[in-house]
Amino acid sequence: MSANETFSGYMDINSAMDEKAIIDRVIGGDDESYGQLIEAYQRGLVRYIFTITKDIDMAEDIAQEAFIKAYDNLSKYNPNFKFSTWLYKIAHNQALKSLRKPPALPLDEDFEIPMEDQTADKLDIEVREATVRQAVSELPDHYRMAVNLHYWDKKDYEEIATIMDVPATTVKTWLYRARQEVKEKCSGLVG
Amino acid sequence: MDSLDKLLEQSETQLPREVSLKQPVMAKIKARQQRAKLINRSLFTCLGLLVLVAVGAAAAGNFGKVIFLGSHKLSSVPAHPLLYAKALLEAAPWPAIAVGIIFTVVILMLKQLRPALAAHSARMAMTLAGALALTATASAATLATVGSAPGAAQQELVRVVNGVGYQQTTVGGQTYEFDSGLTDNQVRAQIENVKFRQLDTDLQVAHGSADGGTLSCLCKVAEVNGATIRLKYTYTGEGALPPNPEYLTLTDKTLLLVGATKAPKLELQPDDLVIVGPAADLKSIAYISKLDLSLDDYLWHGHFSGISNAHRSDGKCYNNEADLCPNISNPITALDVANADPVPPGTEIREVYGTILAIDGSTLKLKNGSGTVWTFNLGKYMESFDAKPGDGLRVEFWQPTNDLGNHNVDDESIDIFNMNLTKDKAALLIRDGKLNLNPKRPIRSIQLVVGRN
Repeated sequence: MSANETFSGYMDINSAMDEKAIIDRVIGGDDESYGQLIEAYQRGLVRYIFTITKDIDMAEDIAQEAFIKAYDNLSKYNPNFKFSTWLYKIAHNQALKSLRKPPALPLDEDFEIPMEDQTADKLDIEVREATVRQAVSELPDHYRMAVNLHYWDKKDYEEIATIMDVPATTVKTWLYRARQEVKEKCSGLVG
Repeated sequence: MDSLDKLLEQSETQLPREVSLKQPVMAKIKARQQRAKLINRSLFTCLGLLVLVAVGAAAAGNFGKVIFLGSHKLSSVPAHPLLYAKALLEAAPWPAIAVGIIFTVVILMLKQLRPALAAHSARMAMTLAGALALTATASAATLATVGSAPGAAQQELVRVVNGVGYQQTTVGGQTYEFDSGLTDNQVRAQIENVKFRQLDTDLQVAHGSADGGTLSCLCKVAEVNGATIRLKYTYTGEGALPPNPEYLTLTDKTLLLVGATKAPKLELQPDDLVIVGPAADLKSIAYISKLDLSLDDYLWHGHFSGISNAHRSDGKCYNNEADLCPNISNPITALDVANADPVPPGTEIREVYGTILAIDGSTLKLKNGSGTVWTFNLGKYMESFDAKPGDGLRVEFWQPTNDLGNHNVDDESIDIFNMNLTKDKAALLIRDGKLNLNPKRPIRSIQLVVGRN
């Protein structure tokens, strides 16, 4: 992993200012600068799409399309939002379109979230990680996407809500339920 | 954060292979940009071509002519800005302009349209092909307008500009102008009047007559019965038709249509309007022309008169309440008649209109529109002639149906008595093809009528 990469696979753009500066340069005609954005978000984006499609080739193709579409519409990008949020939203829509999945997702707005458990895991990390990974892969799609965005791409509820086009409360519910399901599947590992 | 959250963070999905999208994405972006550049250049090239075609067609076609009219003549006439604008719009090279506007809009919106148009090579090719086809079609359509006939507004503008406010029309290759204040019916009547006069001249040429012989009648066909054609006089003058109009009876042995067409036989129907040329023997040979006109507004200017024998055998006039016709045996005094007075019916008229150059004793020099200088020796009648150099003058020759006698006018320059009124000279008399029926300048009228003893 390079010095600029986090364990989640991001090439850090150090700040929103850096990102804005890059985007401004690209809009101004410096296309090569767009490569920095690609390098920064490619892995996370492909991974997110992969959680939807479960096909690495399709995921890469969709990711490329998303980057190109973002480039084509860079002049319309609203700097009040993170570029990654916008990019992920484009990719999310492309991925769903590719799978021909209906966009409607259950909202569960009335669900109340109980208190979090405090049980700590006691097993070996690798085994537990693998088990959790397996459990996550078996989650319903929308739970899995939310988990990907929140835990691996470090998106907050609002950003996830924007990407997935659902209310933030729904995102919160999904994440809670996702955790519950993972916990059930990994009972004894995560306590 | 609890251990589950931590585990979730650490348990991200593993990709089966490393991801490297930078090179393929940048390559695709570059290709799209090149396609977009090509589209951009093509659109500008097409637009440039259309501009060239539009400018060329405008200059070579009717648009250029309208511009020329406006730049050279419009200021000299009563202003017709609306008509000028209408003529310009009519003559503009619209196909090229319309497609040029489309291309301009697309170019202005290219930033928004580029992703769609340059998405891939096939779409780029379709865009270029469409632009090319549109350019070719618009150019062809525009160039096709170069030789096209001018539209109604352009024609009207030409008439207005050239006629300095007068309406114009061209009949038989000659241009005639009319007062712009006339109604459509009046203009039509005047046009027919002009045609009538041309036919008149043609008939004279066909007949081979000199100044003495003229038309025998302006008549309506009353009855066609086998070989017999009965004609009824139709001229009205200022009054109504005489209660018992005389009839001419012709046979159809030899009827020749003269004028624009010569035919061995003329098919006539009742109510057809005809003029009959003079003939020694009306029963055997007649030169006749069929007319398509209405006499209702014919006499408005008082210049037309029914062509016929002006008098009956007893000396009385046809269609005239006066007992004496102007052109019976006694000579006619040169009259100073106001412009609006009608010409008595029953006579033929020739006229010269121009400007008085000089008056010397009893001789008056008149220059007409074609530059010809006419000299009239008016003899004793100059005493009562109130005019001066610079005045507009119309000289009318009343010409009876019979030979003229030389009684009142001696003229070394114009021998009106032995004039061979060929078509050319008749044209000169009508001011080089322009029959000015209602001149605007103040004039005095002299009607010189030479009768015969």
